[in-house]
Amino acid sequence: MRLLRLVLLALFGLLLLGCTGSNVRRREDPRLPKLRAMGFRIVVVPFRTSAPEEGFLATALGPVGEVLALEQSGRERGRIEVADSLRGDIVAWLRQSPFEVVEPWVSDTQLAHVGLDRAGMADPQNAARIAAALQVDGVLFGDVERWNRSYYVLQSTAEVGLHLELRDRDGTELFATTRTETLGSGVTGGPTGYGSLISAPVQGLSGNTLRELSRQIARSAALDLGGAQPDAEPSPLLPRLSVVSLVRRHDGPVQPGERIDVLAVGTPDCDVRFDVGRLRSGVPMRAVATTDDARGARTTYEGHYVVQPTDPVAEVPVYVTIERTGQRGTRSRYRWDGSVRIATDRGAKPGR
Amino acid sequence: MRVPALGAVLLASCGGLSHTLHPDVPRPHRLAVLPVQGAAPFVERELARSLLRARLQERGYLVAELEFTDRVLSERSWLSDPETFSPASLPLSEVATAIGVDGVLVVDQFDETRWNALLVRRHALGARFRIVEKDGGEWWQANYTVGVTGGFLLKSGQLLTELLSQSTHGAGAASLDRIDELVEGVAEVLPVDEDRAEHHMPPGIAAPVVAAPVVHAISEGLARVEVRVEAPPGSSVWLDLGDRLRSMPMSGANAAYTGAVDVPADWPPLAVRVRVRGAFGQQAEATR
Repeated sequence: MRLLRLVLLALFGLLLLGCTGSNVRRREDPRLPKLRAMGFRIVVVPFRTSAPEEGFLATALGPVGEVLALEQSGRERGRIEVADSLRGDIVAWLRQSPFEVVEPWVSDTQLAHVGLDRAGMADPQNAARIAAALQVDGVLFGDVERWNRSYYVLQSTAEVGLHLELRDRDGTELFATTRTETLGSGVTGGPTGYGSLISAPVQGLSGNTLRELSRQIARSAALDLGGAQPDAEPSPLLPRLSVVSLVRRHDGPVQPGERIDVLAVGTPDCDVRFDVGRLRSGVPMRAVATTDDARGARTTYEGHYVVQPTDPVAEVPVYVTIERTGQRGTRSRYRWDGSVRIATDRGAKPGR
Repeated sequence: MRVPALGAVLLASCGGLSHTLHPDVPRPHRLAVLPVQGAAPFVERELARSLLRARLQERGYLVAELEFTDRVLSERSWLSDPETFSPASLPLSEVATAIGVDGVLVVDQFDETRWNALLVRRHALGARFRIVEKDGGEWWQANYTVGVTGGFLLKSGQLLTELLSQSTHGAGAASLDRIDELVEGVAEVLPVDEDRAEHHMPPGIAAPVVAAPVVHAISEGLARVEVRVEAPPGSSVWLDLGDRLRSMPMSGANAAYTGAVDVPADWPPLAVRVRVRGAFGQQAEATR
């Protein structure tokens, strides 16, 4: 009898094991990387929440941590809160990408002035009208398709699904992704004691779990759309530098009219720039030679900054940044192991 | 001895959000986010700073661009190495005035705790946040720590879940989660700037006036092109030479900016284009 109970429990656990994980579907127009690199201005319109209602029991047990639930009472408000929360996450992460994002409050106000209500703003059929009204290159629509907690006594699952759709100013689709993240708690967590047999599934229903999943999903979707994954392992396709150095050591501080000369060797056909601390950022470097041998092709880049009389007295580090030409967002940054001293007529203050 | 130590560790792992608003201090609308000081890795501090800017914008504040803020700090010798920056002795009123904002957000003590003794593990991020108004008054401050505590001792029974968590403990993605949570949590308690009418946005920036470039030979085969520009004081200014050289930063004091580039003497005369940009992204350009 005991054996049968264990077998049944294990079977039930295996059935639910698939409840933790993520599911991603994605379409991208081949023009998008180029458009992104050119500085694509987009508006993120209010999201919809088309997720079905949660089960009554899950809703009742749900607010263990905080309330962000599609509750049956005050239903519309809950849906708007969920949609706005994910929209905020998407906007924050898209601002880390090459896209230029219009302030949501500005776009919401302007769209209200042209007669669009929340449902009208969220409708992808209105993409061309919205783009024309706001003078933007693209419109990003979002739909929270899943926002759900399920409770099966010994197991609970939390699930968030988000659909994003970027449309061009003429209404054609440039990018679409549907992501669903699911987290199971309970018997799938392993051999469970009597106490945690009950408590683990209830803890899994916490509003915090949904919020954590939604933050994760929004971040992944926004970074995917922006063409970058800051937490990802360096890709072999990421441009690299093998050497970063000053062309020549300077005896004493660099004076006005003298040059800070920087050299870098790395992946060919890239946009390479150096920073003199944070004082002068993005000084352009030019490709001066390319060699191709058994170790592969590599290019030498050189650049210089002519110190000006108005520059401050400073001792600053030198950074070199490399990115593929026309592909903003996939960049690598290197710090030269040393610092540059600048001496001008401007009064010295202690550096920090 | 071990029991009190464990107790202390468990207590230390507790974290939370505390914040204070001083309504007697004038509320700032235009803010600058200073580089983040702390023991956490520089990349994480930079990401937190950038996300904070985005979240503040979402809350209705007009926030100066980070590159602009850093340039102004560097030009006044308040920032030399961003990785070791400390706001401790900065004259924050002067800093706000120099950047052209009415308040600065100072983030320090940005520390990360990451340890794993299998039975108990902890990954947490915490920092102190302050908004100081341009007259020196502290308008708002918050302390916040976010983290996850786990381990086979605490997750008794949930062995598979804990095994999965152990594999991702302290990884890059986990840090990203914590930073996201920290920044969102702290931004949520900051009052929304309901008064974010467009009058907080400064007017557009005036176009630069570009003088004729001066070219002189500096060595065999090399010529120096010197460009002088009049542009609004404090703005960021860049110089392009045709399509051959783009976005060379220029240096300036008051309204007079200068920049110089050494080019091969056999380069043909190239059109000079100058771009200026204000703290909040206002732009203008001129060509000569």
